[in-house]
Order: sequence, then structure tokens, then C-alpha cells
Amino acid sequence: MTHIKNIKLIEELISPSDLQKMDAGAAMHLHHSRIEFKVLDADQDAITVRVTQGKSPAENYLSAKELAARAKDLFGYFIPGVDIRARAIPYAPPSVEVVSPEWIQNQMREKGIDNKTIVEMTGVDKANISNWVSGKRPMSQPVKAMFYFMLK
Amino acid sequence: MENLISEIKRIANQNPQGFTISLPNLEHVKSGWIVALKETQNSFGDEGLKKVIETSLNTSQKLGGWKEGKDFYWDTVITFDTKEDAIRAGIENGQIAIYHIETASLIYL
Repeated sequence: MTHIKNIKLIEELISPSDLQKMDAGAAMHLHHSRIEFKVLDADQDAITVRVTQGKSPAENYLSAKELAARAKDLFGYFIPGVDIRARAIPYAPPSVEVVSPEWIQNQMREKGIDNKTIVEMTGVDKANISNWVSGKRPMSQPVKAMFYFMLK
Repeated sequence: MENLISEIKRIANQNPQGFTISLPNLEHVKSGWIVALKETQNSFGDEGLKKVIETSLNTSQKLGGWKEGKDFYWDTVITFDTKEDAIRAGIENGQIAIYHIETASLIYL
């Protein structure tokens, strides 16, 4: 199993053992930071790599410039002298990530909506609504989405 | 122990691409240089998880996991505040590289 997508495109530029080490480094980026690499194009002079970051449990998000630097470090370490061109796509949190008990309470206040109205609109029982709004119960992603689209 | 195993498996299923947590509070590790302990390398499946939990509880109180093919692999993870300490420990534990969580950067050894 390889962690760098399209890794076959660079097989002729690097020894099998170095390729394995490079892929192990990519695995560490994936495990710890949700950073993924995909080789888009490669020849003797240049390698074009797409580097993206997904939602990371460690919340260690990088800018586009930093992601590009990680790609250049990883590929340049094993294939020196080749121009590494990185296309970086940093993590962009989904809109629903703004939803917190404080956000819900503010939106309800602004729109003049109370818990009873939400119960009537959604059919969800009052205890659940109350616990989510007060922050007594953590919200799953679908619950956050429900509040987001109801109150945005 | 059974409860801890079940909770770690739940976290693993939510994070098949990988995770590192502290024990016993199960919080994601968000800082430090990461080094895996040599003696827990190639630990996988339920038996591997039990071994790694015991090792982690007796050493660093940190555990990592990821899915490879059909199996989850586990290791005891040590974190260090300084690069120098991490490099030393990485070499002692036969690691290919060490990883800094905050900056998402790795150093090959």
C-alpha cells in the first residue's frame, strides 16, 4: 500500500528503497496531519505535486505556502536537483463548524426563536434541543448542520 | 481495560487515516515531537492493541493507531519537547523519521 498517489510517475527517478522511505514520510504526514500528496506530472527536470490537507484531529493546519514547503521538503530530500512544483490546497473548514451553543443562542436571540419553536419545526424532542442549545450535550455533525441551516 | 479498548477502537474507526491520543483521557495529542517505541512496532489487531495499551500505560501514556489494509496497527508513542531529544530517541528506536505535530514537519534520521 502506498500513500503518495500516482507514485509510479516518479519510480524511474528514485531508488526503490528511497521510494519506500519517501512513502513512509508521506504516511506520517497523513497519520498526524491529514496531509496528502499526489504526483501530477514528472520528468527528469521537474515534478508537479498536489498537496492537500484535510480535517486533522491534531488541529495543526498549514497555510498554502507551508504545505508547498512540506511537499518540496519531502520530494526534494530524495530527488535533489529536480524542480519540485507544488500546488497546495489548505484545509477549509466546512461552514457548519461555526455552530456552537453560543452561536446557536446568539442566532436564536437575533431571530427571536425559542426552543419551543425549534421543537415544532424539527419534531426533535424538547430535552435534546435544550441540551444541545445549552451545551450540556455535544453536537454531532448532522445536528450542527441542522442548527446551521435553520439559523444561519 | 475492556472499556478502554472499546473506546480506542471507536476513535480508531473515526480516524482510520491515523491518530495519536493520550491515555487514559483519550485526548488527541496536539504538540511535541513524535517518536514510536521500537518494542511495539508491527502490533496489529486486538492482541496488538492490548499489548500496546499495556506498554503505553507503563511508559509514555500515549498511543497511536492507523488502518493499513484490513487491519488496524498500533504503537506506543513518546513525545518530546525538543528536536534533539526526539532525534536521539528516534535513532534508539530504529525510526526512519521523527514528526513534529504543531508544524507538521518531519525529519529523516
